[in-house]
Order: sequence, then C-alpha cells, then structure tokens
Amino acid sequence: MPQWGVIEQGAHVEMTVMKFNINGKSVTVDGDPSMPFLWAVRDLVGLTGTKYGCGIEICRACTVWVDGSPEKSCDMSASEAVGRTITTIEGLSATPAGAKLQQAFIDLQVPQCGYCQSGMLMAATRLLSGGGVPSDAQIDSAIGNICACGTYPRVKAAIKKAAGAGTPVTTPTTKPTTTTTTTRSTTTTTRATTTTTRPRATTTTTRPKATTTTTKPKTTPTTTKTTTTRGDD
Amino acid sequence: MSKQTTTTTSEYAFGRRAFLGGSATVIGAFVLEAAPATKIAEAIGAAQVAAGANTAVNGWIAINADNTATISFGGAEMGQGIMTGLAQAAAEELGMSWSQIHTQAAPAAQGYVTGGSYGIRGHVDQMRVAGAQAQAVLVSAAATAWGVSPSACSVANGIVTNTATGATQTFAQLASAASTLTPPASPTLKSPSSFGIMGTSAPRTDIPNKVDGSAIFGIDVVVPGMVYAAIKNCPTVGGTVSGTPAVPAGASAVVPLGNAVAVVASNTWAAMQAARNLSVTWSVPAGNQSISSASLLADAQSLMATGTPGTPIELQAGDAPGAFAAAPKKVEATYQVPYLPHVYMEVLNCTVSITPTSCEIWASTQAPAWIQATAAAMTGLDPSAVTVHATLLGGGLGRKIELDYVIQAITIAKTIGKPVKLTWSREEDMSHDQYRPAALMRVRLGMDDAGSVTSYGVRHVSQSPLFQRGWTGPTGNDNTDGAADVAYQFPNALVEYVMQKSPVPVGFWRSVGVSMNCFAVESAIDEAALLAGKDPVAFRRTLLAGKSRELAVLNKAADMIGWSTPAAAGVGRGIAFSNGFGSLAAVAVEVTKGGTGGTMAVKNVAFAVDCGFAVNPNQVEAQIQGGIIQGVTSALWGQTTFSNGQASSRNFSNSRMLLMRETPAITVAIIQSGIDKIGGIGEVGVPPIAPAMANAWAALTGTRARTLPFYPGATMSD
Ligand code: FES
Ligand code: FES
Repeated sequence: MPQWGVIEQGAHVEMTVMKFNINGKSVTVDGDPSMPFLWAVRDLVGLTGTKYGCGIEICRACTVWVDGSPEKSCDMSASEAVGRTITTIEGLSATPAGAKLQQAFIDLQVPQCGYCQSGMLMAATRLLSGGGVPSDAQIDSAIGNICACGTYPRVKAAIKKAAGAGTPVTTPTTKPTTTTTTTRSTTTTTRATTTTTRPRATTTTTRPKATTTTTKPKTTPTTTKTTTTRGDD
Repeated sequence: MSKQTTTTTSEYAFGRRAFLGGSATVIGAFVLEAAPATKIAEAIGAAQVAAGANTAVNGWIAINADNTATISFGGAEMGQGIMTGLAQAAAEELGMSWSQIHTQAAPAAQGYVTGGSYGIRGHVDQMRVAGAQAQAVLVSAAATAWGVSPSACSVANGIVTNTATGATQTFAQLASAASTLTPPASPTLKSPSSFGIMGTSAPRTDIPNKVDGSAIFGIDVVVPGMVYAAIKNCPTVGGTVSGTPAVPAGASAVVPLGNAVAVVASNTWAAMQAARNLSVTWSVPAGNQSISSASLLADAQSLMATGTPGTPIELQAGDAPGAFAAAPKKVEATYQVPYLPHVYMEVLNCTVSITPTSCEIWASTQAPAWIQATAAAMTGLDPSAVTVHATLLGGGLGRKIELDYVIQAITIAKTIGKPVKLTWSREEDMSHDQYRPAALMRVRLGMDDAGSVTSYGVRHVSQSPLFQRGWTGPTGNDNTDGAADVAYQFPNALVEYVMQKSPVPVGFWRSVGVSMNCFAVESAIDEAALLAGKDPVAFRRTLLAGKSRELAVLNKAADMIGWSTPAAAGVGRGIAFSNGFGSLAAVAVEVTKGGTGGTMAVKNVAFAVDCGFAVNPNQVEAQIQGGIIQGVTSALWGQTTFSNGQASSRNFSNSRMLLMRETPAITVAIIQSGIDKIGGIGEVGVPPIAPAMANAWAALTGTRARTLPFYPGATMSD
C-alpha cells in the first residue's frame, strides 16, 4: 500500500495495480497510471539506473527500450508501459550488443559523472543492434542525448570500438534475461572482478511498494564469446 | 580491476570497522585538509567551518583479507576522477598493484570540500605520505618477524620479501601486527622516475558502476520509510512565502521554508506535480520585482563609468593610465559576459533521516563537512551524531558546494518527522541557481609604434559570490582571477575591481573569475595584435618572452592546429592562452559559418595544457575534453536573463546544450614540467575557449564579438 505520510491531509489520487515486464521480470506496482514511466520505474519499481534529467523529452537521460526501441520514459505514462517488453540499463548487459558496449565504455573510460550514461548506452546499443559499423553521421543522429560533462568524443569512439570488434552475428535473444551478473562475469574479464562488491542494498530492500516476481530464468546467451548484433528486443 | 564501493546504511551505523568490512585491518589513517576553500568557507559562515574543522582523521588505508587494500576518504566524485587519482598516489607508495586497490567514499562528515581544481594537486602529497607510512609499518612488522632490518626487505604487489632468504609475507598476513606500530612521521617517498601507478592511466574505480545503472547518485538514495518532497522556490529573487498553502490533492504535507515551499508526497512525480501546481502567496522586497537584465546592465555600466574600485587595487604596476594616454596605438574595448546557470545533469537533491539521537544525510555535495556542522546546529545534535554520506555527484560544477537544498531537506525532515528525499525539478534547479556572475570588463591596451604593449588595464564590474555571502576579507576575490594574474609581461598594469551589488544570487561556476576575464583579456590581446599588424601567436610569444613553460604550451597548441600554414577557405582560426589553478593552457580553434543560418560552428579544437604532472593522463584528457565542450556550449548559448525579478532559464528548452553532432574534433596535448609544478585540471579546459572562438570568428568574418553568449535566446526541443 502506498504511504501517505503522517500528515493526513489532501485528497488521494486514484491508484491502479499495474504489471510491468522489465528486464525479463514481471513486476507489479500500485500507483498513479498517469505517472510517467520514468518515475514509476525509479520510485515504484526501484530501478534507479534510469535517470531524470529534464522531464520534457529533450535530454534523453531517461531512455529505456520499449519492445526493443529506445523511448524517453518521461514521455510515456506508466499505464502505457503495461503489456510492453521493457528493458532498462539494469538489463542491458543481458543483450550481447549491450554487454559489448558496456565493456567498450569501460575500456575507453567514457563516463565522467556518469549521470547521462544510462541513456547514452540505451541509445547506442540499439544503434549497434542492426549490425555493421555505423557511420559518424549515423551515430550523430542516433545519439541526441545531452551530456553536460562532454563525453561525446569518447561515446562515439566506444560505439565504433564495440561495432568493429568481434565477429557478428549469432542467434539473437528475443528478451533480456534475468541473470545479468552471470552474463557480465563470463563475457568481460575487466568487469568480472568487480561484480561481487556491487551493493544495492539501500535501494532494493526498502522499497515499500514493488512486488517482484521473477519469471523463469532463461539461459544466459553470452556464455559463448560470440557477438550478437541484433535482436536486443 | 579495482572499483569503487558504496556502503549501505547499516554498514555505516557500525562505524569504521564495519564500514571497511569485518576482515579489513586499518593500517593507516590520514587527514586531508580543506585549505583551498577557506575563503568560501569564511563567506558561508565561520561557525560552520569551526564545527566541521578538519582536525580529525578523515581517510584510511585498510588491508583486506584477500590481500587487497581499501583506500577511503571524503572527496566529492563528480566525474573528475578524484577517488582514482588520489588512490593512485597512496597505492604508489604503499607498494601494491592497481588491481589490488579498492576505493571507498568515506562516511566521514569530515570529508573535505572539493573545489578550486584542488582535489588532486592539493592532496596528492598527503596521500603519498599516507601510503608510504602504511608500507613502513608493514615492512617493519615483517622485519621484526624475520629478525632482520627493514632495509633487508623489498616490497612489490602487496608482498614483503626477505631479500636474504627469499621468504615472503603478504600485506594481509602482516596487517594485524602492522596496525599496532607507529608510522614514521616523514617517510621517504619514491622518486617520480620510479613511479609505476602515478602517471599511468589507471582505470577509474567509479566507472564500472556507471555503465550498468548500479552507481548510486544522491537522487537514487532510498531509505526505509521515506517520503518524497519537491520544491517550489519563490520565483522572484529575494521573496518569501507569506502563509502556508493548503495541502493539495496527491500530497501529504506542505512545509514552508522561508524563500520556498516544499510539497511532500508518496513519490517524486506526485510531489513535483503538486509543487508545480501549488499556488503560493509571496512577499517580495520592494524593488526586486523590477530587476531585469536591462536594469542590471545599466547598473554595471554606471559602475564602469563612475564606480569606486575596491582596495587594495588588484594589480598595480607603473603608470598604466599615463602610458595608455601617451600610447600612439591603443585598444579600448568593453566585453560583456552573462549570468550563467551551472547545468549539470543531476538536479539538486538531498535525503535526510532524523531520530532523537541521530541525523543521517545523503547528498550530492561538494561540501560534506559544512553539511555536518549545519545539521548539528539545526537539530541540536552533537556533530558526532550527524553522519553525512557524500554520494556520487551527477556533476557539481560549483553549485553543489552550496547548502541551500540541504538545509531545505533537513527542515522538511524535522517538520514532518519522517525520512525524506527532496528532489528539485529541472525547472526549479535552473531558475534558482546561484549564477556565475555577469560582468562588464573594459580592457585598455596601449602600444608603441612598433606594436609593443606599454600599458595593460582592466576594469572589471560584477557581483562577488564571496561578498554576497558576507565575506569581509580584503578585496582580491575570485572575480579578477584571469585578469590580475596574467602570464604576460607588461611594464605598466592596472586591474581594478568594482563590485556590483544586487539580490541576484551568484556563486562559484567552473573557473569562476577566469571564465570571465580570460574572454576579455584574450579577445583584447587579439584586437591589439590585429591593430599592430602582427600574427596573434607571434604577438603573444613576444609578451611571454623568456617564459619557457608558457611558450611551450602556446607553441604546442599552434602547431597542433597547423598555425604556420593558412587555414582552409571558409575556416577561421583563433588562439587564446590562459593560466589559472596552477596550470597553463593554450587553445587553437577553427570555426566556420556552418551553424544554422550561417552561424558559428566550431570544427577543430587543439588544446595544450601543462599541469606539471598528470597523475592520470587519461583523466586529464577527459577533463579537458569536457571543459572544451562546456566552454563551447556556454560561449554559443549559455546565459540566464532576468525580467520582473525572475530568472529566464527553465530547462534545456531555453538552455541549449552542445550535442554530439555539434561537437568539434578535439586533440589534447599534456605537457608535464615536473611534479613540483603540479596544477589543477577540472576548471582549466573552460576559460580560453570563448576568446579563441571570438578570435577565430573575427579572423573569418572581420566581425568582433565582444558579448557572450554569441547567440542568446537559443532553444532546444525534442
Ligand atoms: S528526462 Fe526524459 S528526456 Fe530528459
Ligand atoms: S557523464 Fe556526466 S552528464 Fe554525461
């Protein structure tokens, strides 16, 4: 149940039970259906990797995938997300192109403050999912994200590195899996040593409203080192 | 690869041992001072500084059971790589490989203040000493166990070796015994020629968490039972709330906060919506309603004409007015720069949990020590009962050294009796910034017939962030940085600061005074070169004669852009030099009329910087790349205007930002003149960009742009 605080004043708004499919998991929340999905995923579901930057569809910090396409989550109501397949930054590593790009972002030391990087990665991964090495013009037009720290040159270099490295193309996965840490540790040596100490306790144990049910885990697609460049949706 | 860890609430509660992990052994503790922020600290309030004085230990080196080390201290990591850079310094002297190093933001409220591009240069020596002391006690423990002299031991990769017998012990095995020993006060430090970690592009510890959504910024903090608050600040500067509005639909509380009202709800969206729609009656001081950009400019122009400069005069040598009057050739030009919002990506936020015996605060902040003292004063608790967790910052740029949003969050938590996270909307953040001051700068350069500069004069009019905060020190504040301390040699010089006063809130923006004065001075130098018929680079070389470091930087930038060969048709080239924050910088840019409607587009940027020593060259490059991009953005479009006492900036819709497709090709050259000359980097990339662009535009079009931004009123849409 929502918590309304100790001061019982003001009228309550209508609440609706909504069931989302996020990163291969089914998540049920109780909330205002007109709330932008950005805030539903952050405050109700508890996945805070998706960022608020402007709330007016310009900065793209809030980018998630809806049925495989990058969408600004500040521009989509929570109710619109029901019944769709949603991928957020937390599920990106389950896609081969996403894992490669994350590694390229580490290799080239792309993030500065890091705040815009979730949106950058969600947009960039989709660009790679078509296969091939995108041209500068294609990258420029796909990455309309704002980065106040000025990571653009490195983002572009990382996209090219990820696109050019490895061999295409194996069977696409049709949905993100739930076993993201396994994916990470088997595909990226740099990150393998880092997964044990990543704490999420303060953000995952205390959410009052989200009830999470895990769908049956899929086999992680990236135990081989092949590169999947499409089918991230 | 090492990484940065974040800590949970419960871990913090058990103090240092638990914070570092049950199996960790602390073998070194150190103190990082907040020296560079003294002026700001005084300005913000001496009581806060005294209560939060950096007298206690605020950093630790601990050895973990797996023979790794955790280095923890309270720096503000906002993407500048401070956690990594300082850990590199400690690890270098400690004798472990980089892969064995973890970093951790200390929970210490004693965390120092991060600003002034001081993070690395100000603390690198202290970190090296701490690492060397830790190694000394580890070696001493091993030597005692083996019955040999410490000099008979060698150290590498966290292992001490008995050089006579070949016996080894790991740091982890030695840590317990070492922790009881007293370290030497002044351990011998390595020679830079034997560095293996400092000076390398060690991968940053905070980056892995930033590519998978797991990095915790202030805005991501969740604590049990918390509610969400949003803010409605008085739209007019200086106004206060009169009467508390009724609690609106969808909200649970309304909390008056003097110059703002907070709305509390069960999630951020509900709180922001309710705050946005809240109708509040404000009481605005007489006159503030009529503040406008026009009135502010008229005031500055009047001060330029007749205002009295502060004393002592910022720079005075010889008889600049006399030499200017007598000069056969002269440049006199007035340059204008606007109020600038900070525009980082993570809006202001703060989370507070207060109990009768404790106060815990999580904030995106550059000043945790000041928060601790402030919270103690506001809650009546002892400072030791206040814990401040400095989270990762989604950018700070000087705005997050302020305490306004933190004080609001503490007040809300106290009032409603629940833990609360306050998040400002983007609109509130941009329209209630503490802006980089607008400035008028009149530059006078007198030359003899041969084109040698005989007189240099700058008269600078602007608001002072320090004085607005009540600082009562002498003049000599940040506003004239970049004018009073130029590298050029002039026989006669006069730099005056005339303070403008206005209720418009001003603050510390990446590079503060240098960002204003470098535009004026480097534009005027260019104008003088053109008047004298000299090449702008050659003209500057003459003014820097005998200064080998400055000349090397200038020549490097010129070489990288190909200055000695003509620019392509339709391309204009410009150069600018800048010194500040202990480093030297020069930038050469190429511009075209390739922007929308024939406006300026920056195509190539070649930047040379001498920061003495680059602890992490890859991060130096990243900071300069970022500074260039922020410099281009703000020169083209950055500003806040005022009308009816209200700031214009609201969101990216009217605060245009450079995008990837508009980003020039950038090359950065790092010159290292020696670790004894180590300088700052965070702010160094910004100041010379705007004048280099103006100089290039003048070269291309013959039109001199003396007012920033070049294209006011720029907008963005989705
Ligand atoms: S928060 Fe959605 S585009 Fe900026
Ligand atoms: S990395 Fe800081 S906003 Fe992009």
